[in-house]
Amino acid sequence: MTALRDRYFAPEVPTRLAALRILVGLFGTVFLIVRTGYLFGVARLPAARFDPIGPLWFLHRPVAIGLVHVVVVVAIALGVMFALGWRYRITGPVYALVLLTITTYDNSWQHIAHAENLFTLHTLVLGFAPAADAWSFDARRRRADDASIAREAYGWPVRLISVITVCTYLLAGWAKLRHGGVHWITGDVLRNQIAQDNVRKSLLGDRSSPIGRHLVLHGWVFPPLAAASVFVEMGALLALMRGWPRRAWVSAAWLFHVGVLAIMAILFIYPLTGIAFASMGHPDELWQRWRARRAAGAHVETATDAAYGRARVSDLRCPERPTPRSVAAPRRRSAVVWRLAGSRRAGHRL
Amino acid sequence: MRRSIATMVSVVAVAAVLSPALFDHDSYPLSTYPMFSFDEGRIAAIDTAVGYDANGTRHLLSPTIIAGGIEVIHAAATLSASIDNGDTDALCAEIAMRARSRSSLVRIEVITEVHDVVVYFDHRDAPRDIVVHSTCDVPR
Repeated sequence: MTALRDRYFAPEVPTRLAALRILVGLFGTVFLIVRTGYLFGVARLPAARFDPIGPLWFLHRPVAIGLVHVVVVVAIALGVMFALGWRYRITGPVYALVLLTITTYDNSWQHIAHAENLFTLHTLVLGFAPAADAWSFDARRRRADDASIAREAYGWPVRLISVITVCTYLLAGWAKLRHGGVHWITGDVLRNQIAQDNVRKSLLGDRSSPIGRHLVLHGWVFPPLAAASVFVEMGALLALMRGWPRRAWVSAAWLFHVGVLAIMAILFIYPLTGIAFASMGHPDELWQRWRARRAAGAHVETATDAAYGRARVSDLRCPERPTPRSVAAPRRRSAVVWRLAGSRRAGHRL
Repeated sequence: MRRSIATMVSVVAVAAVLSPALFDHDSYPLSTYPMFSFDEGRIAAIDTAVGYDANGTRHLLSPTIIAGGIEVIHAAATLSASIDNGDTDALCAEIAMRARSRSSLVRIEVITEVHDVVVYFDHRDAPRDIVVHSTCDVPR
């Protein structure tokens, strides 16, 4: 138990949380922009179609359309501030709550989409976490916090986001076993679901999946697919382990959503972009590596032009640690080249 | 102290996310994620709405015309809720108002069709049964 607690509260650098803030914030903002037409469309529906749920249970009738317009525009602006980390102590929680309100309103028209739950929950965690202590306008303004100092406060929100993701997959798997039992795996439940979904799309004037339409004619395909689905969902606990079990589960979960898209033409965009699983990796390190590589590439071009000729990237990236391979370059480097190398600080993060 | 608060926040958050499973109540943002979990059967009743032109030719309607949004699942849920609530006349009138954008349509029907969904795309059979809940004219 102590080991588990220590792992949950292990210190983390602020950039990991900051990377999640940027990714989830950008996703939410783009989602709202793309979704604007739908949001405005459902807001015009008759009051009889309004069925408030969740945090909006107390509403007896829809709000004025003008108010919906204003709130959506404000939410988009807040989403940009959230992603940029501007006045985050205010914009973080406010954006999270406004996003929750809008997506709840969006789902209060006799249908819960289940596509917005996870990124809204992630946004709520990030909105109340110190996610703008790096890579943000706030961090730039303060110039106090060092992005390399690991703290407990930056670690547990990342892990909470992962645990929430795992819980949602467990719930989905549990729902299948609860309502369908083992028959959900061994029987025709999945086949009938996919067939009905495609027929419904066809009857309601939407595009159905050609792969799904073909597959439903072959019943033997579905028990293995159903077993794989339940395995991915109930196996989400693997994502809480380190190393290959986590990587394997994330890959399997992503492929699961690719399969849903291919067979049912249903787009779960948040997991498909990979952002839903970003807390289980180190998106900040990916970004830093990419920047370092880019900086090193630019550096070599400059250095080569200046003095080196056949010098290698690895020789120039970190001037404090010249390697034996630098024999290909001149033994004595000019001050100009050292200054150039020193200016590319990103190279040291490798 | 900070760790105690973080522990409390984490426990409450995880308990909240898992709580719908206890009550089997789907809501938002806390959900049971019941998608595709029920056995709907191979012979399925599918609620829909269709339009007819002056020649009596049947036309499929888009989710936007049926329910005012682009999502097909939303349209299906709106139709089912309306049939369950017995207010299909009102829904038919709403659809007819939105269907004015398609000038050829003169009549709308809210219906339930029964199909063998597994062979539907293979044989394109006629529905095994059709229940007409409401019929209304498209206003001009």
